[in-house]
Amino acid sequence: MNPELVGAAGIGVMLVLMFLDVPVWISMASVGFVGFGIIHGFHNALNLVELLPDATIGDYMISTLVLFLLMGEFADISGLMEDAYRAANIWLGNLPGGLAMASIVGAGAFSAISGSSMACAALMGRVALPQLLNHKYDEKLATGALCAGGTLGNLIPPGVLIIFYCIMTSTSIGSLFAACIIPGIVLTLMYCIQIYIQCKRNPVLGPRAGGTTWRQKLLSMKYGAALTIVFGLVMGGIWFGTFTPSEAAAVGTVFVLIYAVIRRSVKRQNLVRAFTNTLGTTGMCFAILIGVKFFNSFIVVSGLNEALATWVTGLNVAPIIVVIVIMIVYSVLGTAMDTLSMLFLTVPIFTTMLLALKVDLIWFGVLVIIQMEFANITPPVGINLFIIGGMAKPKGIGMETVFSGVVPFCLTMLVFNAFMLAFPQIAMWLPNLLKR
Amino acid sequence: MSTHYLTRKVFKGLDSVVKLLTWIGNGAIALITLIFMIDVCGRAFLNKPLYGSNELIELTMIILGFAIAYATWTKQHVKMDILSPRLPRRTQAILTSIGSLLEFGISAVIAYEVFMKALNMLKIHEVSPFLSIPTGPAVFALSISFFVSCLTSLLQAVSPHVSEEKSEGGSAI
Repeated sequence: MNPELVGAAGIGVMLVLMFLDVPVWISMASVGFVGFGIIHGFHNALNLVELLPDATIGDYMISTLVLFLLMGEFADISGLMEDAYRAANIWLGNLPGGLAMASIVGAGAFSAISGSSMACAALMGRVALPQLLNHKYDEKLATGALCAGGTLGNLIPPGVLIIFYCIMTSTSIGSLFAACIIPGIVLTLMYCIQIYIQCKRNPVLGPRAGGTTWRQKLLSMKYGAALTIVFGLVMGGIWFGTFTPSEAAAVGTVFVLIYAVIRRSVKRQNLVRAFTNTLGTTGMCFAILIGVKFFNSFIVVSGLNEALATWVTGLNVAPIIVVIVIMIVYSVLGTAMDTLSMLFLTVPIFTTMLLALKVDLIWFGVLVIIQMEFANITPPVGINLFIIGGMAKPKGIGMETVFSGVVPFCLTMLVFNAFMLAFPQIAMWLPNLLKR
Repeated sequence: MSTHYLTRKVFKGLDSVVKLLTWIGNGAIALITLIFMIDVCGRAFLNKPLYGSNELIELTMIILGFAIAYATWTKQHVKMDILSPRLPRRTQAILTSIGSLLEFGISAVIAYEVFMKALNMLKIHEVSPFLSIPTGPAVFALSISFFVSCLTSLLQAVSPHVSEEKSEGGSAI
């Protein structure tokens, strides 16, 4: 049988397995193993099984992922999220829709030390939702803002998806971290502007909170101090070449733990929980990475990625058109698939094609992360919607409110996406500057 | 001896094993952090980085493979969850069992192959290049993790209700 045909059939079978609720890593590993066996013989497929697992998880680079996950857990214990929200509240609370803006800015600030969209949405929901509802904020705006805030979790470094992407494409973690910073800030500002316009046009949506003095504003900066130090230490360390990303993650983790100890928020129970949560997520990531390696090996021997690259380059279309088509594919997939499945399914296939078209994989990485975050808030399967929906349910807010509340934020994200496509310099300016 | 009695016995046995693996896994995470800190501090303050730190990290990462067994036990592996919530409970249970059987098969193949590799490494006394630490035991630990995953999947396939109570669910990405 034609290997390329086997490759295409393999992708089809894998999608069917995924839709039948077979765990993603099993879908990828089983299709990868069987597909490899069909093309290269099962003896070679078994050799692959012998080689891949320990080589995959015993990779120095993957320790970055584990340590950033642990740092996010410690950040949760330390109360840094509450601090970020409190500071943002004092600065923005008296503006129309100020509390909703504060939840966006707070989520953005927390994202600077946590790499998880879900954690970001969940923590912000826990901290900000009661406040927003107490201040008579429109339920749609409140829940929509909290879902959107979560999208900054992976975009503002350190993001776990960024690390995954870099591992899969062998690109520099430091460069992609740098490339994501400005887009993250731009998206935060765009969300805030959108909330401001919405509330300016209809003040009932987000009433102003009480005013604050400049003295209060200046004093509130102490709440953001620890967060700024951790971010500076981690990102500065990576960019100035003082630490490798893994070392920076370890230093950040220890710093956040010390901060939590000083604040006396560390108890034996929550410390064990932090480690155990990290262990569970690590196990899930390890399994997926092993599955991806199997699937990648199969795709490579099938020659499907090469064939696709040859076909696309033969079309003689501008690379930007191909990238736009890929982004449209992501937007459509994002309404039905979760982010990890989407990332692992598509990146191995697209990478060869994009390299043939000489597309910068760092810039493409930023676009991919944005699309992953977009998928987190697009109904009906956006995970952030369910997290916030779950928290809002006891307060009598239904999923339909959350779904309609997030629509303006989805539109903002589409505009943001178009911006990033049209002006690659927004993402590439900082990594290019650091390269010099 | 009824099937129910047997599955409960296996469940209890696996529960104890996973608890042990969880503690070792947590210890491995702490150890990785510690190695990095010693390396960074040694380099920054004493101009003496930890010799062979990369090797130590990579071997500890393989031991951290126990995390896979923990993730299987707590049902944290990512699923699409699109179709099944809309299906009748019976069909959902059948799909779960099929998924678990497939997971059992793949985990069993990996556990066996990795175990054979570990045995071979022990036989030829394979050691790491700088510190000469035997690498076989770490790979052996990984095969144990897949073996536990494999048994867990089998248990989930034949008796999903027994393993329902332990699920903590959800990843953090």
